[in-house]
Amino acid sequence: MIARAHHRQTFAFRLASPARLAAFTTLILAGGMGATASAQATPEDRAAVSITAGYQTSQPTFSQSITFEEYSEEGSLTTAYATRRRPVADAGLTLRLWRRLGVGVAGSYFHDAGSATVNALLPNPFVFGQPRPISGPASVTHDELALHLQVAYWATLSPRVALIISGGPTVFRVDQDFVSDVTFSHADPFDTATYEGSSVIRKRQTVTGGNIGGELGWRLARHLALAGSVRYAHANAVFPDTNADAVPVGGLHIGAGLHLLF
Amino acid sequence: MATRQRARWGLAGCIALALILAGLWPGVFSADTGWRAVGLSADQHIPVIPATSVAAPEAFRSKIQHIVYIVKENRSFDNYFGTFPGAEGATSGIISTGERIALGHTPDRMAHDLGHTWADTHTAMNGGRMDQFDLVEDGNVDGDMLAMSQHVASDIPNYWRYAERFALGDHMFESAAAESFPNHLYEMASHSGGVIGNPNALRWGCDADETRTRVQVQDAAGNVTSAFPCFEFQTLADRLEAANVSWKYYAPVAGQIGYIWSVLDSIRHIRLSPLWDERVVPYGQFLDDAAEGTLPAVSWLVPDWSVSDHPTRAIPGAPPTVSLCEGENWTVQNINAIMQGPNWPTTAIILTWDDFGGFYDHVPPPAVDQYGLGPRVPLIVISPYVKEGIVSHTVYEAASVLKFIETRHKLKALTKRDVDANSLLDMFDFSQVPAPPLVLPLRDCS
Repeated sequence: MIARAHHRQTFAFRLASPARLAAFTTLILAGGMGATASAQATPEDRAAVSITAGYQTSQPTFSQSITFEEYSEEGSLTTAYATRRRPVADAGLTLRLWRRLGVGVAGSYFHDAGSATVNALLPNPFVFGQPRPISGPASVTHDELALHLQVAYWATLSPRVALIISGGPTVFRVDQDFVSDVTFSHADPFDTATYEGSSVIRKRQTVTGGNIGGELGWRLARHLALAGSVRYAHANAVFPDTNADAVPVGGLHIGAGLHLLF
Repeated sequence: MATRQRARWGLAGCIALALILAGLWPGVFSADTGWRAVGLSADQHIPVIPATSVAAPEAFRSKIQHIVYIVKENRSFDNYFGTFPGAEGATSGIISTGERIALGHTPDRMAHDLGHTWADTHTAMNGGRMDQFDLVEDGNVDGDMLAMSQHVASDIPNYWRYAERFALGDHMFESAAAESFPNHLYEMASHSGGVIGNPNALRWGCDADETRTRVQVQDAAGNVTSAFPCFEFQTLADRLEAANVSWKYYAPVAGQIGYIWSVLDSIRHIRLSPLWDERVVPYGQFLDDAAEGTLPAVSWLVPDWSVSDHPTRAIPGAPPTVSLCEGENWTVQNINAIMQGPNWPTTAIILTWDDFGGFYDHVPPPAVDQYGLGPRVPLIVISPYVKEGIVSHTVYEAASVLKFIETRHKLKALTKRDVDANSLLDMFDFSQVPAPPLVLPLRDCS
């Protein structure tokens, strides 16, 4: 088996760059501060600990493609990866430092154990121009551990309701399985071939992206509030020597949980 | 009554035990192939990471312009390289009595040939047990146990120097578990047309006397019939010709004893076409072409009887004995001509032997179909781009050489054999600094 790789960059999921996210966040925060500063009283709480469970609603995709030579003819193989909607665990701390402005840090974890789809065109051993298609699944997992650093705007909308809008850079540690070897079988007269399975290799990469989001708290007691959260975080992780496109990480998280207020 | 019942249970137990052992014991006979498959897998792989696991075909095509396939006669791997460091060799073997004996020393000139027909080969292999080489015809004449003998480095120093400096394959098997004729057919066509033996005359191929010459042919169902040894099937030579790739078959000519190995004589559409005169040339011409740098893209080189390494056989008109020393000198002479000529920097030389010749080899061959494989034969690969000093343990056969040539010239496979065979490419590194030639002195064989 002799294979020759061509890294093909086809971005199936193109989103805002970290710089654009940060600028957008600053704009939102500045606008929000101006609009609500005069309307709201200074909030009493100086810190909020949030614990939420949510769902990552986006389904980023990417692919891994090679061409190879077999039986004196070029064949091709593409593996399509799709990260599915899955739960996200999230915890964070926001501190109000001056008036409604503060800083925050949050961590989130996302795990998807799913499958990728392998499609290949295998040259025929005896005849040119009659490739044999094979197709099948490969079990792959995708993990994201994210650290979100945030500048926050903390608005008390009523005695019971508070809104925290935040944004900033995100550092993702991504663990991704990639198909490393595909096995097929064929027998005389070799008109068809059968996909037998794939081996995968796990790769890790750390990349920086951005995040923007908001949390709405509904106070139940002096130190306790119900919370709903929305956060969009994103980066592209490039894994060298995998013949894969950049892997989109993050997405839109929607969650609910608790705020501990101090 | 109780005694009879115990006896019945005992008999049933023995049968059950025998069946279990038959299932577990390696190389036990089965109805269709004679012996169980132990080797090549049908599964294929596409490496994705890294995507290039072996030498890239492009580099192969740019660096190698000449492939020379030299086919000598009748030696097993253990006979030549059983004591080679790093190779899977043996210095002793089990014989039909169950006794393990030390391999004796093969003389330079053998007093007689060893049986290596289809029947001899299957007797020797004994279903993969490899313990009946002493039972091949003339394998043990008056206690000489020549079938259970081997050479040492000092007997064939130049073959060893090639193996040490370039690459040695220790899992090259003969394609057909039989003698010369079918194996030479495999070297051209990746099959033998079902032929499982030598023709019954001293003239083989389409030149033979059609009224009297016959060869045994086994069909897919295992039925054996006899046929005139003049066939009509595609060979690699045809594929090369169709692709406008230059090739020559350097071989003994009519009148020389080694003409029996000029196997294109058995392919009717070549023997009876102008290709026979244009492409099939006397083996002596190889020295001139190599020296002048006019080697074609693909050459087959077949020796005459006296320099073939073939143990002596009583053939009318043949010298009484064949000297291995002289056979090695002939090989060295031709390889020196390549190395001293202008084609050396872009040449790959495949030096191998057609069949095991009746000599002991301890490795059970993989069963790939009803015809083979047979016992191991030596394989030496010589090129500026061969990985220097390696011993490859990859399973090869003649179809591996054809696959190597097909890959170089972007040709499709001929049969299932070259589809499934491992190519020789894993013995090459086209990114290495090219190895200089190794011109060796001829030995004094007097």
